[in-house]
Amino acid sequence: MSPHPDKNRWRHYSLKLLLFGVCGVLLGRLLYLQVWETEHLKTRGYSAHLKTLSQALPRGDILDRNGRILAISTPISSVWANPQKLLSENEDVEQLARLLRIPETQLRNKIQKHAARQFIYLKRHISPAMENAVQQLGLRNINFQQEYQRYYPDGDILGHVVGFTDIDENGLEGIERTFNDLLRAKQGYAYVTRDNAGKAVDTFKPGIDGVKGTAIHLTIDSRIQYLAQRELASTFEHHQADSAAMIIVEVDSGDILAIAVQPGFNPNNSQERKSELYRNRAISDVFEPGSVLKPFIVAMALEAGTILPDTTINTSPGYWQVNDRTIRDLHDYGELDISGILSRSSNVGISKIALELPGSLVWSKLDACGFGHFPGAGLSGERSGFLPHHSQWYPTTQTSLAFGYGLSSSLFQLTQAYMTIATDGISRPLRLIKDATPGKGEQVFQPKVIKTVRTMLADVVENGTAKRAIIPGYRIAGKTGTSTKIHQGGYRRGHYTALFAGMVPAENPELLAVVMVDEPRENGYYGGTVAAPVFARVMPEVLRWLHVAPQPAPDKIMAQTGNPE
Amino acid sequence: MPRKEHQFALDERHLLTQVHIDGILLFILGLVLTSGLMILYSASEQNMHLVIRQGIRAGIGLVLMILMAQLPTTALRRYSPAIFGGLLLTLLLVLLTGDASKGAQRWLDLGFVRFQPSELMKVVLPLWIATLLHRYRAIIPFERFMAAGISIIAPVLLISMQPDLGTAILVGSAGGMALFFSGLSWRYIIGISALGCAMMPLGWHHLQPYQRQRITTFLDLEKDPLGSGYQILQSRIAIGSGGWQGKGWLQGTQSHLDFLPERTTDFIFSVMAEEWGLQGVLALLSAYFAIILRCFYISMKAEDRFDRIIGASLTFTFFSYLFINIAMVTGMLPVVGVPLPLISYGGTSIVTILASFGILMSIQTHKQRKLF
Repeated sequence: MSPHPDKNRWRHYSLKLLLFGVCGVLLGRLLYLQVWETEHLKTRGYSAHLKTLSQALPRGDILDRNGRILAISTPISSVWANPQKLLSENEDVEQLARLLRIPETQLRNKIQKHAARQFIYLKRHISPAMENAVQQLGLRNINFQQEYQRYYPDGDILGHVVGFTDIDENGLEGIERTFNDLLRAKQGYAYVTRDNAGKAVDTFKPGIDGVKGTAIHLTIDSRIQYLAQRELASTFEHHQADSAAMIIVEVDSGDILAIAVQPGFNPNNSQERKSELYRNRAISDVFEPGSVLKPFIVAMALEAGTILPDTTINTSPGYWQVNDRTIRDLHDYGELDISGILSRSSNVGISKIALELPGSLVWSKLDACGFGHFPGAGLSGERSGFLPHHSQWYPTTQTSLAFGYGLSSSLFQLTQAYMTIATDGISRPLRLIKDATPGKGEQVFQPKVIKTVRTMLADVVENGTAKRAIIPGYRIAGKTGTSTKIHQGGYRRGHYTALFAGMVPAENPELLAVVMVDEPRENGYYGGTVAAPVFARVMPEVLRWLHVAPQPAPDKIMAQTGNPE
Repeated sequence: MPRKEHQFALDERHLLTQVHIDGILLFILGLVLTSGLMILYSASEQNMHLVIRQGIRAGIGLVLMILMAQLPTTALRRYSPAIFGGLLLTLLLVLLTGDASKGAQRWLDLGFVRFQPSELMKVVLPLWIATLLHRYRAIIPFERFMAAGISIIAPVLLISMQPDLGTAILVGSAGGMALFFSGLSWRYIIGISALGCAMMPLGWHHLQPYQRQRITTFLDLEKDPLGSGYQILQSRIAIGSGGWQGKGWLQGTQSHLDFLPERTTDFIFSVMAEEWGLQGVLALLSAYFAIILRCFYISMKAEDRFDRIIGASLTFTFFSYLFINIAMVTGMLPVVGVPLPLISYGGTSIVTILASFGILMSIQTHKQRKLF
């Protein structure tokens, strides 16, 4: 008997066909996957389990001139997870939410929303205690990432200068922003194999070591900064001002020892990160400097020889018509010598002096003092202010400039300009970064002229508008200013900027301090009443710390400087 | 034929044949089982305990295979009604009282052994169908055909209610094979196919949600590569990234980094393909193909119609096992939960398959009349 009767032959063949056909299909499929698609699928596999892990390293510290830490990066953990894993393995989100102090529905929504992603932060920057508690839960798909958090030990003492970073340590304001590239750590990388749960199990090639960010030393002295900030804050409160700022400079080096700004700003508190709080008003706010500009006009005129120290000018009757503008003094001061014009702060007197000078001279000297130029001190938000070119001046422009209107300046620029008076006529950039090479100075005024001007400014403090700046035992040269602010399209009464620039000791200044109080509303508004007292409260301590010896009594010095030599 | 010649001939037979063992089949099975244990060792993260367990099961399977080989197929024919009836009852029992594993009731716990009766059905159903139909060479009487049809549909329904779609399909196809080899005429075949197509929407309606999802996922794999298409995608990556050479034994990243699901059971082929590459895949498939060809040869050379029916049915059941698993892990079929025969971790499956090879050996070695 034949095993294959004819009528069943088709069955036999169709089976063989099926057998070989199916095997062919399987082989084809395997060839397709393992030969044709292999590179693509390999890449796909690698991309899932070979990971480049960035290695977190701390940002560089910011230090004051004495090495005291102003900004530091401290290690902290963030919790992350793979949402897919969390969802698929149905882990204990309820417990997790409780420990992380996030409402459970919020956490669930977050996970659901990013369900297609492989990585989400559940919470950034958690406390070590919280980290411990979450770790105790022992959830398989919860991971911790080592990060760094910026911390500012001095809080609101130097917040405006140091600035702050975002949560990923990118500098957003202040030194943190301008020196971000230097401060930022060079990221290291580890190349690891990760399992499906995202845990690193092995390295597949050697990593690259990162480098910690470079530390930056500021010229700021924290103690002085603290003092300035404290006294400025009390003045700010006392006079209900809009804002206030103070800069203290070491004259010899041009180092900025303090930049105090009110209202205060604590960079540790992210709630305070609003422009009106963190803005560094010492560099970002410009104003018309007013009477504090007068000594520069006097110096120009003395140098040009249009006046002598004992030249007298008649300021009667207390006002003076120039074209269509009337220049006014507070009182009719009558006949005044140059020193008298400064100590009474006579607008009429200074205008008469200024009109004797060529516009180009006035412009070039103010320009050389830094008005209208970016200071380039390395802070974010610097402004250049405004100084119109002399070719565009009217006679009234020149008289207005003489008492500080028609140009604008930041407190920083004003300080820089006053450095020419404190340093016997040399204009030199101020320094905020300790390692920066000091800029080359430029002789703007003759030293002899400047010495004379300082003597006059000492008289302003002793007998004029700045008596409240007096510090017993030291001779101070200074000038007040009370500029009317442009408000609603014109100069309005009731809106003032109170200013004081002072240096000590007057004969050979070691310290320069400039104070600005914007819109004082209570308890007076004159520069001499509002700004000068800040100087008097801050500087005695500073002088003591920096071992600046007190001087003999003022009248003896007056006698010495009165010497024709 | 004279009795004496027969006695003489018996002495001439190979020693293995005398103890009813088919040497060729045993040799290839040994190769596949050995490499299977090696693959399992890697897939289980070098869990020797697990490998030994599987080795013991394979041993039990081999013993059962040899025992089955001793049994002439006439005995199977005699007892098949009772065995089939008993197993059908057991399936019913499993549905009512069985142990649940991964949401499906498949297991029967007899105290000393825990097994899946549905797996046994793959062997028993063809036996029973062959018993029913082997006497009708040309035209099967309608009542016999109806009896066979009900005999197939009943266990398939019971198994799919567990629910175990993969096994139900395999049992159904085993029964269908038997029907086909019993000489079912074209008219019936076309009729059944048409009925099957018509029933598909109804079948869809009765699927579990996860089963439906597997099928929709299969139809549009890339739509949700990280959701339910995940298993197939990871498996394809594993197989594809093996390339020609493979990553080496114990070196597969997809499996050892926990990306590949079910890697000791349904997806063990992917582990092997990743580590051994296309060359290993070709070697293993050649071994499987040799088994199938040998079994096909045995069935075709069988002298008894009953033997031929059950031989071919069991061969093709094994073949569909293999085909469905590989098609599944390479993304050509939806994931229906069919293990890789002889290699996937799991007891009942390997024991049943080896037992069915025992039957084939019995067919080959109990030939009486056509020895020369």
